[in-house]
Amino acid sequence: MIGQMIRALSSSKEERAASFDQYMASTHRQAYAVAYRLTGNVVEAEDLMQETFLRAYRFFHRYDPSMPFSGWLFRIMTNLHIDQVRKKKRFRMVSLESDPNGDYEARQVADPNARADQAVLSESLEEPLQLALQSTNADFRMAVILADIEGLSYEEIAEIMETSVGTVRSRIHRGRKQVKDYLERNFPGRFSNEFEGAITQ
Amino acid sequence: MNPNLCGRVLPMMSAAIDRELSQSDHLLVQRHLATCESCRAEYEGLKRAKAMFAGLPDVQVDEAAQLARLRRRFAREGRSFRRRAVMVSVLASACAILAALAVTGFSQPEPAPDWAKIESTSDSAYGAGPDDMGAPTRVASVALTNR
Repeated sequence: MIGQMIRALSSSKEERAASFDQYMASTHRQAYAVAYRLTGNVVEAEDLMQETFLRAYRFFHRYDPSMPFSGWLFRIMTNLHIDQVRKKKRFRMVSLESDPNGDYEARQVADPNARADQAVLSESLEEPLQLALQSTNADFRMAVILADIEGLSYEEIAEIMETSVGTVRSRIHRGRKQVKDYLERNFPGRFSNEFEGAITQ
Repeated sequence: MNPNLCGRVLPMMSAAIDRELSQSDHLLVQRHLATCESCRAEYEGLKRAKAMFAGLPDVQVDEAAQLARLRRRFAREGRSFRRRAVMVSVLASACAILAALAVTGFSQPEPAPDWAKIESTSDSAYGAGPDDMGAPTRVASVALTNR
C-alpha cells in the first residue's frame, strides 16, 4: 500500500518534471531574449532566465494552462526583475557616494566581451536603444519590451503584469517617451537621421 | 495649439500608435495632430521609437548550450533540494524525539523533598493540618529545631 503510494507520487513527480522540461525547451530562447532586453547584460540575463525557470518549476502546480506558458513565465520574470532592481538600488545607495559622475546607470550596460555566445550589439541601432531602455523604470521597460519587441496586445500585457489596461497604456507611453527623450538627448543626430534610415529600409 | 487639448491628447499618443484606443479617442488624436505641430512632432518621435524596437535584430544565443546549462542548473538545485529535505527530516525527527523525552520526563512523579518527609513524621506531634501546607519551609525548620 505504502509502496504503491510512493510509486504513484514519484511517477507524478516525473511526469511533472517531463512536462515542465518540454515547456522549458520551447520557451527558453524567448525568455532569454526578454531577459536580455530587461537587463542589457548577458550574464544577468542568463541568471534572470534561470531564476525565472526555477521559480516557475517550484510553482508549476499553480500554472493555469488556459494562459500561454510564456505569459506566465514573463509574469514571474517581471516580479523577479523588479525585486532585483530594488535590491540593487538599495546596494547602490552606498556605492553612489563614491561615484563623482553619478553615471551608475551607464555602467550596468552590456559588456560585449562577457561571453562567447552572447548577443552581438549592432553599432548603429542596438546599443543606443539598449542604453535607452536601461534608463527607464523597470515597470515601463517591461511594458515596452512586451509591446514593442514581443508584439503583445495591451490586454495580454495587463494579464502578465497583473494590472489594468489603463495602467499598461500609461506605462507603455511613459516608457516609450523616456526612450525617445533619452535618444534625442544622447544621440540627437542619429535618432532623427540614422535611425530613420534604419526604419525605412 | 490648444494647451488643454494637448494635455489630453499627449498621454493617448502611444495607444493611438498601437491602435489600442476607442474609435472616438483615435479620431480625437488624429484631428488634433492635423492642427498642432508640436504634438505632431512628439507623435512622430514616439512612432520612430516604436519602429526602432521592431527593427532590432533577434538576440543571438547558442540555444542548445543554453538549454544544457539550464538543465545542469536544475540538476544542481535538485541535489541541494534533496539534501535540504534530508536535513529537515533529520531535524524534525530529532525535535520529535526531544519532545517525546520532555513529555515523558515531566509526567514522572518527582521524588518527595526532605521537608515533606520531616513534615509527615511531625504532623501528629504539631497538629499540622491542610492549612499549614502553605508554609512548608517554616514547618520543616520548626520540626528540625525541635528535634
